Amino acid sequence: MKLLEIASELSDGRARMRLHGELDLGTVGAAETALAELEREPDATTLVIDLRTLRFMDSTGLHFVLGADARAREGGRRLLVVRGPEAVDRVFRLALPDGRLTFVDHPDDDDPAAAGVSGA
Amino acid sequence: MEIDHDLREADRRRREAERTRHDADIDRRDADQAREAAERAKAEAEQARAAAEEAQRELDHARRLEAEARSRLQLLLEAGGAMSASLEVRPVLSALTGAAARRICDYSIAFVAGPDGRVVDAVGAHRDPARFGMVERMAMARLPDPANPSSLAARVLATGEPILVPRMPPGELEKIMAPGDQRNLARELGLESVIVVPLVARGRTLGVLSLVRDGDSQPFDEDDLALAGMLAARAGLAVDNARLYADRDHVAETLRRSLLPPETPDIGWLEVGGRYLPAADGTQVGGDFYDVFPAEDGCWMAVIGDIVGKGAEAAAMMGLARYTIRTAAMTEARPSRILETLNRAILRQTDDQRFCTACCVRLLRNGYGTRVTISSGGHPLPLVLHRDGSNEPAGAPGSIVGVFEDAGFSDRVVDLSVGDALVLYTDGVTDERRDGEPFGEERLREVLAGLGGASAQPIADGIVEAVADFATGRQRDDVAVLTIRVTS
Repeated sequence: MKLLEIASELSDGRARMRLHGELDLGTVGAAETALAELEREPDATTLVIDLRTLRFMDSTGLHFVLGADARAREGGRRLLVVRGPEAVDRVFRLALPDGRLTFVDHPDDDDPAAAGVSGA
Repeated sequence: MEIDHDLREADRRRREAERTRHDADIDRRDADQAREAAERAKAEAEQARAAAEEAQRELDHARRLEAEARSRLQLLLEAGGAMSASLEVRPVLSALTGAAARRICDYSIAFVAGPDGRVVDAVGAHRDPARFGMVERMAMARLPDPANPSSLAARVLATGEPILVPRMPPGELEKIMAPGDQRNLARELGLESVIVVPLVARGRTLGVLSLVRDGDSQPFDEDDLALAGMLAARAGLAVDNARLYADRDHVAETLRRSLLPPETPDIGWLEVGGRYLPAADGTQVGGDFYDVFPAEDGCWMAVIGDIVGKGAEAAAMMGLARYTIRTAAMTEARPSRILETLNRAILRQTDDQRFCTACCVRLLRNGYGTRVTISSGGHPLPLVLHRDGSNEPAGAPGSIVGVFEDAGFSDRVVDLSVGDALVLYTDGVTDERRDGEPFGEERLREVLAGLGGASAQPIADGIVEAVADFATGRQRDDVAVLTIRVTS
């Protein structure tokens, strides 16, 4: 059994990455590789990291998401994080000041703050 | 008439005889021609056979060359794969000599030189596994000494030049092998044809590789020497890597030890206990740290932290974190201010998303027990353990340290009575897993419920043991626990 399974797809300017399993020091390398591939997609204006089926995440995973967010900001993209289960969400709640990352509940949702602008 | 008749008769006979002779001539000529044809055919057949034989010989030769080439390629692949499977010198050389003995020689010995060039170890292999011991005994009986190049290996060590001896001249074995055990074993194993090549990496000779064929095998040729050279080049790199790795391991371990408190201090009114278990992959520095030190006005500071990431950069950040906290505590009484200073210090040092989590605690003795001021920077909140085993988290969550300019940290105050303990830990404790399920804070609190009233060190030990009992598989992250108990 693989500890982390990663599914990536690109459509409508959205690069989506779904993480399934455990994201920690042992598996983060695979996630970094998959993310780097998505980041090379010139057409993706929005990156979505979907954590709904992530069972476990530690501070290494937090570092992974923060890195993705920082690079997205630099590259003029936005990063949406689809909220994970309580065990995963807790890691963010305990470690980040409010409003630092943009969380949504579904991979097709838009940034709640930008919803009016995009008209979605 | 009679005469005429006789003359005609004689003439007729003569003509007949001439015809007969002529016929005979023709027959003889035919026979000659037939013989010539037969001889030609025979010669052609022989030529054809010779050509066929030549073709067969060439085919055999081509097949043998192909088999040899395949065997050589196989050797390089096999040895390369086996050598890269290990990061220690001995297994690398076992793989090397083992592959050589299976593929191109009867037995093989690799000698390893230390930093000063002296041979420190030998690894051997024989085509017949039952003779492994003999090969190593022969090698170890007298290690080659570059200062005294009587043996071939010593000569190659000294010069760095490969040696090919297709056939050992009579009496030569006595010259290159030490009398006694070594010479006797060499005779028993057979030492007919020898190649010795240096193991070189980054311009240094790290050792030598000897390949030996006994009397029953073909002598080595130039092709074999070239192959041995390629093999040795790969082996040199593998040995060099293993060395570097061992060095790095040593540096990492030294660093780690220098960053951990040598022992928990003796404070008097407080008991301090600690446990630290580095992750199973102990070759990389990083991870967790804790520290307990005296601050201004008779206070004590305790801090526990977790550097995200591994390796030299993580170790550097650990050093930065520990000493920034100690320095900040000289002028700042509030733990939240100390974390703010640390946040700024890390932001100034790094431009990536590298961060740490830390929990900083100030301990002040008052008339009733100890007043504790807690600030957390993205770190699991410490637990207060009462004498009766009841326990609860203390403090408020704060941002991770080192990423955000506007990170916010807050202070929370809690009073401990005599016998109460404060338990600080890193997420390695709660994140250790059994079949994917984390140990978790709830289980930690259950374990603590059974440790109420225990001394500081047994509490730390109890936690680490419970986590070790629970978890399956390799320990993935560092685990650190720091306990402080009020004794008076």
